[in-house]
Amino acid sequence: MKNENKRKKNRAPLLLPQLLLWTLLTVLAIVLVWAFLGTKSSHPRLGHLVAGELAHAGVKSEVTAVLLNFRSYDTLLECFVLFLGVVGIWSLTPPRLSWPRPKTNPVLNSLVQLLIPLMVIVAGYLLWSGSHQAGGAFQAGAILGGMGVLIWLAARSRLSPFPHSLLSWGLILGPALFILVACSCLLFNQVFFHYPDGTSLILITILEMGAALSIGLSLAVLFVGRRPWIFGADYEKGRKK
Amino acid sequence: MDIWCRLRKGKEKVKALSPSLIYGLTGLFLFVIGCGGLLTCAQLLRKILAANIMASGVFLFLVTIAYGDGTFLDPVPHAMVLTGIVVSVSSTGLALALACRAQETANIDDIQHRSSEEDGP
Repeated sequence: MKNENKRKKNRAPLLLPQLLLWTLLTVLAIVLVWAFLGTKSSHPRLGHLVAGELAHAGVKSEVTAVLLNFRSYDTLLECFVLFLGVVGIWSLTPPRLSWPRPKTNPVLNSLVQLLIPLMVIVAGYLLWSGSHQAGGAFQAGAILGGMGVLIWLAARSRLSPFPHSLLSWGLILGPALFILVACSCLLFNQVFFHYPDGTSLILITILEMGAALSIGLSLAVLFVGRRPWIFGADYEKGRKK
Repeated sequence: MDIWCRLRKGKEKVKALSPSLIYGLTGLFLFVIGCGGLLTCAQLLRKILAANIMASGVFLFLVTIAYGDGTFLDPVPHAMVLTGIVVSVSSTGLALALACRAQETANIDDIQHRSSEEDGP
């Protein structure tokens, strides 16, 4: 009884701020809807500019042209955001050396064996199709990330011989390629990310391949949630302390 | 934004709610709901989910804006949404790791607090 009274007392003063909050949110919703209904869809858009310049972009797909040619620094920063997320997670949680062995399931194992080659093919197709239709590094990276998650769930205990340095290099490959290409453009053309004439397609292809690999690896590592393995004397030292 | 659009149903032309209006309003609704959840929920996991709902609303809205009046598809918002999805995934992962860390630290504090209370008079 006493407890109930206490709870009621605690809850009563909360009502007013809640009411105020929801009123404010309703006002926000009304303002947003009013603004949305008021916009005219016939404005000149950035998209028209893209459509006009598409012939010089090197790829036929407009979205890929925006992502990797007209606004490639966006994609560069985005690759680094993903990398920073992984670094943040790795520095927050201590590495874990041994993982519980998942129960062996013959159906899952054969399914994974069937799916992995298929996923690699689909990722490659998506990467290739990014040059002329929907697709590209992000979609391919998402498929590769899903593949990584699947492998992790099915066979994590068998993955331990995987060299840690390879993982690190794979994670940094995409961002590093972006920086490399951007800086070499700066050397040749005096403009950051201004591809030399005629090299757009090959540069975009290289960047997309690196970005897809890194995005896939980063997504899988984000799913794992902590540093899976660490090799070297530092960790052993830390463990003994 | 046009509220009505004309659809062809057989030979007749029918007036109907334009799809971009529905998508846009849904996006705004998701955004506001997520905003409310972010401010009212106390648990960290719910806050992260609310932020994700907000982000989904923004993505839906941006894609709707790209569609415009249906005559021209703007690739720039599409590229922004693609970038945004990846960024939101990475920020969600980092937020979850932070939440786990906060939970662990809070538990340790809680246990220490309780044990010190038990030790006291």
